[in-house]
Amino acid sequence: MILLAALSLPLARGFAQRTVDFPPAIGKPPPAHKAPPRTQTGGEETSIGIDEGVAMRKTQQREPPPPTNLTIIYKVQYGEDLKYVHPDGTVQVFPQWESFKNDASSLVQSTNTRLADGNNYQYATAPLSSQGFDPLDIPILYMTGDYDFVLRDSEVKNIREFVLKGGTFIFNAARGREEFVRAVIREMRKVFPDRGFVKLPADHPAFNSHARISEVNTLINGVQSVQSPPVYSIDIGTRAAIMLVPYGLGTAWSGQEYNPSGRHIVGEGAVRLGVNLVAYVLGSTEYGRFLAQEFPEYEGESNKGDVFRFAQVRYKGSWSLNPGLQNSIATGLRDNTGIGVDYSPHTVALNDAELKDYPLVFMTGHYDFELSPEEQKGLAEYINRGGTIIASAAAGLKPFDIAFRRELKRAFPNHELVPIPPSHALFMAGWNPVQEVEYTSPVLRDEPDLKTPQFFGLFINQRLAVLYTPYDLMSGLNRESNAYAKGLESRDALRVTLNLITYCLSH
Amino acid sequence: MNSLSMSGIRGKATLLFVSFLAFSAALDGAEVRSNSSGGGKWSQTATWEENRVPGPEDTVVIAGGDKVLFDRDDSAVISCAALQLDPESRFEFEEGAGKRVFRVAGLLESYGAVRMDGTLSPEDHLEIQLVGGEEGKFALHRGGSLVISGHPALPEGRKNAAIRRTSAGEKTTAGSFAADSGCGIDIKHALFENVSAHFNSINNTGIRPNERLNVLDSRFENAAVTFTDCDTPHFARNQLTGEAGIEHGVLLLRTPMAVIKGNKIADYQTGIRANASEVTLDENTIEKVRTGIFATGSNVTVRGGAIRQAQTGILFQGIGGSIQDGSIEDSKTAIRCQSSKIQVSNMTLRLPEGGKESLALDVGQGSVTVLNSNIDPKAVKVTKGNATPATPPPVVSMQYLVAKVTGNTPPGAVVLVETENAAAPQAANMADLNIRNSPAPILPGGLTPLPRSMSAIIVKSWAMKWDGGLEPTPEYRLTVIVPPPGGEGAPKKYKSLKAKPDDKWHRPDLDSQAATLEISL
Repeated sequence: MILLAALSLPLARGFAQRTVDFPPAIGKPPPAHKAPPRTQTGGEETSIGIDEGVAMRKTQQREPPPPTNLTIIYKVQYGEDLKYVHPDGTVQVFPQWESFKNDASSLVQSTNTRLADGNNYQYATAPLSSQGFDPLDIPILYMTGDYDFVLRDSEVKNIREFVLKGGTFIFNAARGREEFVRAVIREMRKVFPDRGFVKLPADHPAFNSHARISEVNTLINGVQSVQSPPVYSIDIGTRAAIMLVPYGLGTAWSGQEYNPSGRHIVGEGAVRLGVNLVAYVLGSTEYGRFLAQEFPEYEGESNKGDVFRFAQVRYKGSWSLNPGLQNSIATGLRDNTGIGVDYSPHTVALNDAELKDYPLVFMTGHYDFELSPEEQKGLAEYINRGGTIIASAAAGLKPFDIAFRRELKRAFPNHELVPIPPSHALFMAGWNPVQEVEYTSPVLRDEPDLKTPQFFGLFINQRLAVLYTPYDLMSGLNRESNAYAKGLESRDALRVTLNLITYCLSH
Repeated sequence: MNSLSMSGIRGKATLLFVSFLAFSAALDGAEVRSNSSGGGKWSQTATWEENRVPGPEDTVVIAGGDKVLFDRDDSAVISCAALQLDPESRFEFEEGAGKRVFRVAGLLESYGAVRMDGTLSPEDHLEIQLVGGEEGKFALHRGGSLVISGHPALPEGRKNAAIRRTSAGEKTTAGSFAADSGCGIDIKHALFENVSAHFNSINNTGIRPNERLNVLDSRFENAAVTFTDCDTPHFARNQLTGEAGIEHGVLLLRTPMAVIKGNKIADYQTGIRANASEVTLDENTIEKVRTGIFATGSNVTVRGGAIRQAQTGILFQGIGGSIQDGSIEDSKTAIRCQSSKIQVSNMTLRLPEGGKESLALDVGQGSVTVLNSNIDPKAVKVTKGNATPATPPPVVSMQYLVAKVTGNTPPGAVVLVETENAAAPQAANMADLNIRNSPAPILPGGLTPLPRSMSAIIVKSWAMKWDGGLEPTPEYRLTVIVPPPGGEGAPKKYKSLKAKPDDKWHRPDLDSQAATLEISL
């Protein structure tokens, strides 16, 4: 039955042309006209030749080498040929995938002009069903359209493999049509059944990878407005791996008239957003490759007995962002302190009975989350019985920061997270004083003078029970080469973490 | 005495004279440089190369790599004749020490960082005074930065970090602060008094390292703020009070994507003058001005806020843009549109009482789409100019339509709106531009979408022709239908009614659950 359903659409695509009720982005074909009569007689000398320019001598000074040509985007071909009947009766048949003819070329042109990084970025087109999309070769697949579509199995497989290998897929509803957006959401459930689209928060690096963008001008059914850029994503790690822009960008990119029945991001905002998305992908390719690796897995307890053993908190949200994190922490601890460690990864929910087996747990995430009443209760009991949590906002994103503070307040309504001064024993006592730390460049871009660890603590009975930083600690600890993580540089992330752990173990 | 000995005497005299000049220069004013070994406090001799604290006649230079901390209250004296900061140098104010006033008689010129942080204590008062002479200038050049953080919670709008222009003479001339490309500006809770600010070619997009342009929660008295060739400056929650002679409060020249938000501006010729593209003027309150907002550029959005007591509330000239969600009160002409194509939505206009010549809308060679704004056609003036009978109407008014469907609503039912007795029959696939967002879903509670959803039904109301006459308001037919499954075949029709938009359709509150019409099934 399923097979039949899967086959039926391609078959239908082959034999019946779908008629749509929304005009195509490429305008009505001009009426055929008769070619002008030839006035030249056969064999006549035309003297039209190619001007090859002045020959250059070997000794002559040459121009600097041209920029490197790099194809970075495939605009993918998908779907079928559609039919639209214009009000005057003209029938237009057009390929569903194309939408605007020059949107991708305008995008790469804008990228070249604005990034001006010495590369000449280019785009190409390719059928989505073709094999061998390699993000190392071409990191972006771009798909646009106005109409409903159903992906073939081979296309679903291609997208999944491409994205897991570190590639990024960008969908844009060419003129903001709901039916395309709905189709993207539906079809992406086939690609990643366990993941969904989340709206990117205002502080997401996609909105400042090149130019800072806080708002864009929109035109929705002819009504102008200003709003935060609507971009949705399915993430892998903290990387926006499949991005969906449900408002049209193509009209602004290709400099055409806005369709009054569409939803568009207009003018300069659309161009900047497009360049930012490309810049974001270019900046996150290395991180994408990091995430595409296979990470060591230990089964069972790697080192039994009285050794340091900790767990990562599992909750309904993006808790598992740093593959191999526990191995990185355990190795760092073992190598630098000689403390015996259990290398095997443990995860625990806040309402699990086993939570009490871990004196210390780590928690991270990058988006909003909510703890269940059982998890709230488990968290409060764990802390009151002497457990400790070290938490950090992955990539330094605000939604986790807000959510973590809110959920902690719910569990401990009478306690506050207070800033821990850099002079606190946590950082300054012991064998590894951390006076100054180095932050990643995304932090320094906004806070160029920041040099001290920024931690907050929740004290229960004068015991430091929760240690929290709104900056990313884990990706540095895990050496993730995430260019957009707002956090501590790798070396200092480890130094600080060693201090936190040894402090917690000794207090 | 021979000539040789005479020349020797002359030589000695010359040497003495030069020595005297050098000595007097040391007393009357010389260049005093910081120690090039890290700097120190202003009042300590060790901070300075000459081992003496600079005096009022001295030109002070802070060398690269040095940080000089200003630790005096020079309210009654001049701190120095001029101050120059070399690249990579810093000039900061002592914190937690009460009043620290630095008074410079001449130019303050910086390639380094100037920092005033009054956040530590509300008792602190940190101030730069540009004193004396015809000019009071503070110039910040490439590589320089100005970071001012006043205390955020002082009573009655008091600011404890200030740049002020004062004069020893009778008349105080205006001072200026100018920052060029390559500078970082972060100003919060500061006071600029008699000092206008000029920001030139500063990019706040993050593209250029160390360039920033954020001016927040500050007060400008008798001062104007100008952005020229900047990109995405952020100017928010500031208060500007001018004098009648000052041309503008905020001037934007070729400054795209500027965010000018939540400012209070009063007593200028023009509140905000925007000659820039894609600018958002958001939630600003502008009062007692000749023109509230004067926009020439492209895609200028005026959103929220209020304009009061202006000759002209908003003037759009030669551009496209929108005016939305705000109010214009007691202004002789609320909105003037000259050769522009604009949209006015959700605006509340209140014309001066008894002002017979007052206009809600004055359109000259442009077109205005009015959506859900209380504009009376009698208060609209159009100037024909080059318009021909074929030119679309200069003013078209649209209204939201929120229908409430009561009774037994069938699953999947929607509300279809069609123009009743349309002048020309509608061709298949041709959009009816009288209507937007039809058919509309019936949401839980029986209402079609509210305006905030951006998918509410919108219908054309009145339209004004170039001769000032009105086109007849169209009548609409609303029908509850259930579309056929799969889109094939005819829809199942339930009930329909006819309606014609009028003034009562105006929705001052976009979130109101009130229905425009009710359809009982």
